[in-house]
Amino acid sequence: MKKVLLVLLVVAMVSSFFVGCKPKPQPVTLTIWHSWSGAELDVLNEAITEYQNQHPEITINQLQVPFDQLQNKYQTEAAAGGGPDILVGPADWIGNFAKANLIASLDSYFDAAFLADYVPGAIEQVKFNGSMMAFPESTECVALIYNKSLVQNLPKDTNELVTLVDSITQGDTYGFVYNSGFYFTAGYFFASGMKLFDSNNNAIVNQGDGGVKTLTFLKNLASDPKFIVANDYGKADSLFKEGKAAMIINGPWAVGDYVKALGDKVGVAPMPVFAETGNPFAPFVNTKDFFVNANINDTQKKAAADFIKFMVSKDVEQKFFEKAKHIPSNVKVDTSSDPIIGGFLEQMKTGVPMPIIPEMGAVWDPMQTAIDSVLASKATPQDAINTAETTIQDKINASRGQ
Amino acid sequence: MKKEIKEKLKHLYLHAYIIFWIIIALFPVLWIVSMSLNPINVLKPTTLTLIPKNASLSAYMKVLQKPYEAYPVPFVQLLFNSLFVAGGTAFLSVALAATAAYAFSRFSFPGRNIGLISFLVTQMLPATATLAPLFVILTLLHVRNSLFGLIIAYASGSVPFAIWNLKGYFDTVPKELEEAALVDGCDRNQAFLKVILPLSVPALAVTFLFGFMNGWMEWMLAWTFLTKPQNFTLAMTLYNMQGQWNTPWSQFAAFSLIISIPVMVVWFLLQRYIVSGLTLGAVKG
Repeated sequence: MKKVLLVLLVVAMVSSFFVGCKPKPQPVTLTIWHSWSGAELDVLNEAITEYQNQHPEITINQLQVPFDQLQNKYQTEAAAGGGPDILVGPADWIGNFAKANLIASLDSYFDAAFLADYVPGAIEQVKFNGSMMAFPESTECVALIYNKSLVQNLPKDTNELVTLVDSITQGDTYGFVYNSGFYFTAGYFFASGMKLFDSNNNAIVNQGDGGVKTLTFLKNLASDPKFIVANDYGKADSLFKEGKAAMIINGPWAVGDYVKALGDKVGVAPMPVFAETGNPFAPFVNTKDFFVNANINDTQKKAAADFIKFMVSKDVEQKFFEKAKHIPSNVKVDTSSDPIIGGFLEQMKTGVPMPIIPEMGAVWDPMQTAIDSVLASKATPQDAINTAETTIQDKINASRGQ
Repeated sequence: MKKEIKEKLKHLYLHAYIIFWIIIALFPVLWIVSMSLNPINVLKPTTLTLIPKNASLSAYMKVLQKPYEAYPVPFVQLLFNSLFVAGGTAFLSVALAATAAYAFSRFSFPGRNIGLISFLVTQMLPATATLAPLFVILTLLHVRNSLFGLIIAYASGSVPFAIWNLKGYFDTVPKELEEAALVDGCDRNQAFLKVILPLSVPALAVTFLFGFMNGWMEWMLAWTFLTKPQNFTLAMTLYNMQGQWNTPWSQFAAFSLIISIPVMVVWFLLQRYIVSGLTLGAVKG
C-alpha cells in the first residue's frame, strides 16, 4: 500500500511539471527573395505582418533584389547550398532551376481540394515532368491599352486597325506605337499558326507559313508612316503617358502608372484579330510563382509551403488584385470591380502558356533578330525565319551537349 | 592693333569651341535633371524642357528618405558603405599595385614577363567570368556577405590594371634619381618611399581614382554577394530602382544625380595631382 502511494505520489509530482505545457512550436525563420516594388511590395509587407501576428513563432524576412539579378543571385547561392527559403519569380525559370535541382517539388504540400480553387492553366504551367515545381500567385499577358479620348470604336481586326490608326495619326499624336519586341508581338505569330516546338522540344518556327505571314504583316505596319513600330518599351511608354499615343501593347504591370498619368481615359481590350487568318491575338500567358528552395530541410519546407498557402489565399490575392493590379490565380478573388483588369482577363482567354522548358531560353534572341532584320529590310521574311530556326536549334543542341 | 584683333578672334574661336563641347557634354546631364523633376516618370519625353510641367522635388525627397524601398536603410548608411567600399578598393589597389609595379619596373627576376602578361590575361576576362570563382573563394573565407569581401573582390579586378598603369609610370621615372638617393645613404625601401612615390603622385592619383570609381559604381557583384540591406551600397540601390517593367524614372534620375556628387568631389580633390606635370626637369643635362 505504502509503495503504491509512493508511486502515485512520484507520478503526480513528475506529471505536475508538465501541467499547462502544450507542445510549444519551435521558432522558425523564413527568408523570401522577390523583386516586387511599389504597391505589390506594400501588399507583401502587410501580408507578412498579418502572418506573423497569426503565427508568433514565425519570423519572415524579405529581401528585394532587382529583377534581372534575382535569377542569377538565386542560382549562385542555391548551387552553393544556401539561398532563401522562398523565391518569387516567373514560371519560365522553372525549367533551368528544376534541371539543376535548385527548387523543391511541391506535390506533397498541396492536395487536389486546395488546387481546385486555382486557374487550371496556371497550375498546368508550373508542372515540370509532371511535378508541381512552384505555386502560381498571379498571371500576366499583354493586351491592347488605349486612350479613350483618342479611340472611340475599337478595331476588330488588323485591317480595321490600320484604317483607324491612319485616321488618328496627326501631327505629334500617333495612332499606335507598336512594340515589336518578340514578347509583345508573339500573339500575332501564334495567331498566324506558327509553333515554337515539336513534341521533342526541337524548334519548328519555320514550318508552315505562320512566321512569314506575321513578319510580312509587321513589315507592312512599319512601312506605313502613320505607325511607329519599334522594339522600344521606353518610347511607347513615354508617348502613351503623355497622351500622344492612342494605343500601345502592354501588360497589367503598367496600368497603375497609366491611370496616374491619364486618369479614367485608360482602357484595356483584347488586341484586334489577325485579319489574314481570322485567328485572335494569342499572347504569352505567364505566371508569377513562389518557389521553394531544394536545400532546406523538411520542417522549413513545410513552413514555407504553409506561408505560400497564406499568400495565395483569397484575402491576400484580393489585396494584390486591388492594390497592385495582379491578375489572381485564385478563382475566388472578386475581379468585377475593375474593368481595366477585365480587358486582360478577356485577352488571356486566347493566350498560350509560355513554355517553361529550358529550350525556351534559346528562342528569344533569334526571334528578335528575325523581327529586327525584316523591319530594317536586311532580310526577307522567309530568310529571316529560316535563320531564326537554325539559330534556335543550334542553341538548343549546344545546351544539350550535342 | 591688328595683332590685338587677331588675338581676340583666336580667343573667340577657342571659347566657342569649348562652349560647344561643354554643351554636348552637359546635354545628357540636363536631360537627367529634367527627368528628375518630372512628376510622371517619363524616360523619353517628346518635348525636352528643363523644367517640365508640374515640376517638383519630391523625387529627391523620396530617395533621400527611403533609398531602398523594401527596407529602411538610411541614406547616410548607404553613403558610408559606398565610401567604405570605394575607398577601401582604391586604397588596397594602390597599396598592392604600387609595390608590385615597383618590383616589376626595377628588378629583373625569373617569371617577370610571364607575371606581367598573366596579369594582362586576367583583364581580358569579362567580370561575369570571375563571379563564380570569387563567390566560392570568398564564401570559403567567410567574408562573402560583407563589405570586406566586396573590397577584396573589387581589388582583384582593379589591381592588375593598376600594376600595368603604375609600372608604365615608374618606367618613366629616371633611375638616376634613385641611384642618387642610394649614393646619399638611402636603402631600397627609403628610395622607394621617399623618392619614387612622391614623384609618382599623378599616377597614384589616377590609380586611386580608377579603384574608387570601380568600387563606387559596381552593382553586379554586390547584388550577387550581399544579402543584408545594412551592407548595401548606393550603386546597388540605384540599380534596384529599375523594375522588370516599370521604373520610377524621376527617382532614378534624382538618385543618379545625388550619387554622382561624391565622385565629382573626389575627382576635384585629385585633379591637381593628375594635371600637374612633375618630374619634368628633375635631371637636367
